[in-house]
Amino acid sequence: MRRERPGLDPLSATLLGAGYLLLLIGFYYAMKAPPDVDQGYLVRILYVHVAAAWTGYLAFIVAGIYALLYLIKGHPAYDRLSAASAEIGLWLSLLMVIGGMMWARPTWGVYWVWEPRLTSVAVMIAIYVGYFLVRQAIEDPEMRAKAAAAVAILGVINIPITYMSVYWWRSIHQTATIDVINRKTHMPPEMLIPLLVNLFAFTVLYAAFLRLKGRIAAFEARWEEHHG
Amino acid sequence: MGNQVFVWVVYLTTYGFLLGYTAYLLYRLGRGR
Repeated sequence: MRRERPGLDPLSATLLGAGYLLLLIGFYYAMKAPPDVDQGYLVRILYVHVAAAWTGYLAFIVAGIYALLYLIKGHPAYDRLSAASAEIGLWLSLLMVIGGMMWARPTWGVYWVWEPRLTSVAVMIAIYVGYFLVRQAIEDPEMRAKAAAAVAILGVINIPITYMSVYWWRSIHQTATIDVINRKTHMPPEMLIPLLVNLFAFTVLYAAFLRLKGRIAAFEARWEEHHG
Repeated sequence: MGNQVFVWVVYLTTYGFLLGYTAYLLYRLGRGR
């Protein structure tokens, strides 16, 4: 097996550089975008809130796919990537919640309401906190990987429920700005551009983080093998 | 425009986290585990 040396590899460096460049462009467009008729400049929170939410979902779905691959093929690398993706997804979800709360306080008058979208997001976060508790609790690497994979796959079931919650149980949280179900966009171009650029930036940064975390976990596993 | 405070809290938290997490990952990668 090829032994990679620790340190930043060209692909990770490129992804990181591109991600931060896109983030900078996204920030420029977000600050240039006009205020919303109802929300004023508060609408700027949405550009990072939606980006964090989407990449959070993506990270959990990828964690589920790697979990499934682990169960089928049994290679520890899939387990490491699944855990890496779940961790990044959890961080992104927390960022999404912070953004949402900071938007909700001046808009709804409260930081948090137990309405369907927020509740299903709370369930989603609880599932992935549970995922890491399972990983902590089991010492045997193979048992740990199998149990974690089961949680990661179960967690994916909740993602479409969370996404659809704003349609199924109409409440206070607005429906999707970029409606992928009905293929409609409820935004003028000068607001859509910062949203899309930020979305792209977050996705590229997620890919960079996943690659870096996957490599770190691989080095860690190798180190433990040698030093026990 | 008291609402601007909320916007800046979100942007500073987000960028702060992304930069901090990147630094942490690069540190771990440089150490090799």
